[in-house]
Amino acid sequence: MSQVLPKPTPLTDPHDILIQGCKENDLHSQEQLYRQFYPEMIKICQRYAGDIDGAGIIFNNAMMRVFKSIKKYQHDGKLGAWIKAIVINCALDHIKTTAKIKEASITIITEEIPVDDYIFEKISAKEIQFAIKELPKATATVFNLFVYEGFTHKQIGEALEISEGTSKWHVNEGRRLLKTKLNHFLKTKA
Amino acid sequence: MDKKLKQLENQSLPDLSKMDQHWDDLKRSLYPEASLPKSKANNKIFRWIAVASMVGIVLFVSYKLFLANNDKIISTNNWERKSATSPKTDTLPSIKFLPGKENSTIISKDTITLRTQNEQKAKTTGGKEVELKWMTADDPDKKSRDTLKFEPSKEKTNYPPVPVILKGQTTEGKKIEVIAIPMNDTTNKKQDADKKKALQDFFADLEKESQSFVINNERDTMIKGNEGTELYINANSFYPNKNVTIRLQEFYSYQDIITNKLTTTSGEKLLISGGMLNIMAFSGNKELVSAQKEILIKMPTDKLDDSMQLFLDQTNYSQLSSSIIENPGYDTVGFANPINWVPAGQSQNIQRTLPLIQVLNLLDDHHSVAYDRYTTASYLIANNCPLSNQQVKVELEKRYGRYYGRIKVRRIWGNRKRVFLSSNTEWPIVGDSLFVPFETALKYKLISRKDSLKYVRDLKSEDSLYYARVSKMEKKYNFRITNLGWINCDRFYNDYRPKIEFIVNLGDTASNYYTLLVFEKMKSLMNGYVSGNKVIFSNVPEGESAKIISVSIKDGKPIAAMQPVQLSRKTFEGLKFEETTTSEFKQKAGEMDK
Repeated sequence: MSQVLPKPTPLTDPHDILIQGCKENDLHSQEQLYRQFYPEMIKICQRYAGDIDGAGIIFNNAMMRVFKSIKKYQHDGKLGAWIKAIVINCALDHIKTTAKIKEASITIITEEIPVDDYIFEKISAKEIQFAIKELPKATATVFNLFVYEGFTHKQIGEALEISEGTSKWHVNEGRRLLKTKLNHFLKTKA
Repeated sequence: MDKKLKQLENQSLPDLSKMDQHWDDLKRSLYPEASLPKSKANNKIFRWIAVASMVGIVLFVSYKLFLANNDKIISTNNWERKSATSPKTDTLPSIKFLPGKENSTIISKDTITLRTQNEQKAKTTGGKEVELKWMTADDPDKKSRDTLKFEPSKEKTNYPPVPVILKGQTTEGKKIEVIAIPMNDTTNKKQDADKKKALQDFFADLEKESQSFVINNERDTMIKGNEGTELYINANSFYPNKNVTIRLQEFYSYQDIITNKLTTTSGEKLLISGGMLNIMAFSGNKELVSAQKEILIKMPTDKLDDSMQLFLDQTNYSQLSSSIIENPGYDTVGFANPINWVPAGQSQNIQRTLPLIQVLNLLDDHHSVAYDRYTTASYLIANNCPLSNQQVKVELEKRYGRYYGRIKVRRIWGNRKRVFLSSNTEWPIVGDSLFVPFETALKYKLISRKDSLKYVRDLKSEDSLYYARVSKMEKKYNFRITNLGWINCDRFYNDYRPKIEFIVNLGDTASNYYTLLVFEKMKSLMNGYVSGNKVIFSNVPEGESAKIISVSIKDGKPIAAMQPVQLSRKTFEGLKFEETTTSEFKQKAGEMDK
């Protein structure tokens, strides 16, 4: 009978069994993978879609791509990051089809706009997301990519085919508008 | 600001309400022709089945049309329509209503064969107990009335408490249509009503008190019940109310479930319960029926069961109460807590942290096969495999010896994760570098039980704290709700044994008793339905051990019986009732928890 090595170190991705199933088009494995990543990814999709239904469409498009190209996936233990990258790409495709982000002549404000910390103690994440959704679509998209996805201005520029300066402007504009909205929200709530 | 926003986002909960729907959409996109991938052979079979079904449907419809034409001819000869308010239906062309019953609601239709006109006993195809008032076509002026008794239906257990129209045939073969009304014991109606009232009072004393928590709606709040239930309520879940009172009732023990007259059935299917909750919210005196944000519920359990899911109360109270008003003599005790649990489509997504074990991968395909005098299969193993080539060869021969004449084993140097494409897969096939969960390793006999036990023991000793934390985390069921009210953590009871109707004869009007069947091996409880002196529990597994619990009022005092029984087709008689009190009954019900 086989023996057990004394100090096992996983050499492969813990999702290997699921990945293998998906490569063989096994529906059960596909479902497991889908459900496993749904909670994390749907939050990302919701940031770029108007509602949960739109988020579902983005995520389904992304998972479609995942299942189609999973045979090319290298077993480097970063399945989550790989899926996230596909989800963000799909979200950006979705944005490109629904909103046009124009290159405009803009004044770049480089200084940081201060926001009082106490605001965040009185407000929930969903309320903030609601406020971000109310921003102009282009600003909201750039703001989300910069703040939540950790994109640099250069990456945003490449992804959305805009200049770095425009990206910076959108982020600052997003912060400014968001601060105004949150202050207003707090006042009405009180 | 960015950091704070990110922190808040990480703390927020994802909206999983449409996960199932989204998955279904994707499934349809992945497999557009059918929901599931099917083999060509299966498609062929299904095509044949479809053709056969089509032919069957055509034949059936033709036969039905033929019968309908025949009926029409007979009805026209023997019947005439009198009532203008008769229900319009194609299959029942000539209905005659008795005075006062013109507005009766038709719940279902049934067929009755009368062997004689004044027959006292007869059976419908569904076999129901009814008071039957009918007129024959032979003598339309003389209104014959009779009372007929039927045994309860096997097919339709939820017999409606309102008149139904039955279609029948006399001995001469003439078609008749009749109104059937459930039997009511009019002579003892008042006495029965008193008994029911007293019985309701008895159970009212036993009702479990709810725990009240006043929360500040502007803050995230976690509530913990006395029995370990945890509610995670997001800030502004009940916006714009500020102070909200949450009332919680927990029902985990047999004692609580029995004394609060709760049952675990979904339609006619038995459920096994992991606990029930009743959650209510109030702002002042105003009841809040739902929350604007999802409430996370954690229900404690000793033994985690992956198949448990969320069930909600879907009973239509308004429909029920109207039928009781129409039929005041109808048994109300049986409907005292008429919760029909329906699955809410939320199952447990328990991610177990399974310890992985490194095994010799003997499931892999061979690296190459040479067909010569002998069929020779070559297998590859890693150079640092602790077993000798000979040992591996012996193991491989045990499994694949019947396929190959000879088996060769070769060691591989270098990268252990090297991928070989000879078996048309990118799965690493190097012999001893496979990590699999314990269960998988055991299932495929890649490791002996002794080895695995040793490994678990070592792992636990290395990381017992982590193990304890994980197992503690896994001792709770998680659900998310927005609508408040009754919720139940259950799973369907699947049993291979034949299902039977178990009948208990109480020797007295059964509607004056609250009778319950409690299963001993699983937390499952069901109400029977009442027929005369009998209580019928349908669709129960034959041979299962259970306890019959029955409570009633005799001479103004509560009596109760709790008797173990083996479920069989034989009618159970001779329940021994004893005088009881609320505390005694509660204590006896609690004995089932031991």
